Amino acid sequence: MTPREAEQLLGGYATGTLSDEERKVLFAAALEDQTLFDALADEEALRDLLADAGTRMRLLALLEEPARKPAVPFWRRPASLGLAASILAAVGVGLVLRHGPAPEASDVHAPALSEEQPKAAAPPQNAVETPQSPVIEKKRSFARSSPRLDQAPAVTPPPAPIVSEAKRAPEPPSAEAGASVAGAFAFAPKMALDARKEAAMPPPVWSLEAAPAGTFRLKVRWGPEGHLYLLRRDASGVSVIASNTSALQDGKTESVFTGTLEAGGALDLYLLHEASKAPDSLPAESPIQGFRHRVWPEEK
Amino acid sequence: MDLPSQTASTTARAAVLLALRERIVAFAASRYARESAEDLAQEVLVVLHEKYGHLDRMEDLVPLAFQILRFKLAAARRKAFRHGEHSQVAPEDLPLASDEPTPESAYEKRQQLERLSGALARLGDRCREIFRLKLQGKAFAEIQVIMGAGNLNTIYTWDHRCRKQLLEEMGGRWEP
Repeated sequence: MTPREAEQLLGGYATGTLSDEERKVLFAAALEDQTLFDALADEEALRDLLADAGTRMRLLALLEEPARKPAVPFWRRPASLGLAASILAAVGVGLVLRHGPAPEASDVHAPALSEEQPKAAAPPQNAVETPQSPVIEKKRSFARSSPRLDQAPAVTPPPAPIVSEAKRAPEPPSAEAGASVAGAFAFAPKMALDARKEAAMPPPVWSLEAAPAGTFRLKVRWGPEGHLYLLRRDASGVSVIASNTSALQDGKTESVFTGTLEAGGALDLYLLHEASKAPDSLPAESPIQGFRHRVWPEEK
Repeated sequence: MDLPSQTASTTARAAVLLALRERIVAFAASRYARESAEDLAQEVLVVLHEKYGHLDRMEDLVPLAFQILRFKLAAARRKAFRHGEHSQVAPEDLPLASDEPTPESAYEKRQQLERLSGALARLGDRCREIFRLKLQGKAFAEIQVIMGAGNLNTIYTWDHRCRKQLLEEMGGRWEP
């Protein structure tokens, strides 16, 4: 093992995670390499801190807590939105009354306003229903033309953003929608920022190769956050498919699942925010904390 | 132990101590004071020789050397501070050394724990999970199984990235 490779063991030193063999490799490399030796010597401070049982317990308690989810900002709560709408309506009525009867002006503006609103709401719907990426269209046609796995030709769609359930779920206003009402609500850009924060865990990108014998090979590129699972659902029940996982240079992870699938069976891909203790009991339909997609047969 | 194996063990120990001395001098020179680096390395080796003469395996000597080095560095800093003209005090006024942590070191430790807690809270789920499993005493091979990684090297890579991220969150140093 080179010093560069042995450096990857550094993180296990302070916590006492290393096996005897790993310790031996790390120390031998440190005696050979001054940089690694210095890093290990610096690591001693953390090791000393973590050697205290009380400290470890406190940190464990902290880590056992589920990751704090960002609180819903006050401007996104229904009560606040309702209040804002009421105030806006009241101000509008007040302005109309103050300026006295101006039937011509209100007649002219009223239809224009009613036309503006659907336009503002249209972009998010379009983004889901009419995908602009040709690859999504290709995936769908693949699903329609080959409904059975054993009849499916080996097709490997190139990686591309996919339409996920997470995206179909009601979303906060997009940046475009926020911008369209920016004149009325000064905080709209903040709403758009929050929407981007929620999308911190990017959906996985996959390619599925199916062989005539009913075998499949699913390659998924995901990460850097999340826990990935592939479930096979068929007449014999639900089973978790093991993967061959490797880390990529760009911080993402590539997992390759291989196996067989009976006719009428299905493959569900999950990317969850937290590790599941019983992945085989993950729901096929009801809402989950993360991403889910039926990769076979392809959802229409 | 027969004579040939005893000789081999002594030779291996001498080789480890020689390499250790070289590394400690370089480390102390870069982090502390070049002129005191040799003395510091010598002090570490003296302790290893006098108190731990029975240890000859590299995997025992190296971590021990790190621990002794840290104490010696802290003692050297304290000594330098004591020798400062602005803070000269009579030796009889100095408190006797105690095994108990001083209020200062207890405060430092508390501060370090708070920094570490804050940094951990800012990590992603995967890094928090790896750190949690490590604190539970799980080996990397066990963590691999729990996290469903196909390869042990994947866990090494993840952990290495998480460590870097944690260190960055702590401002590049474990100590305040």
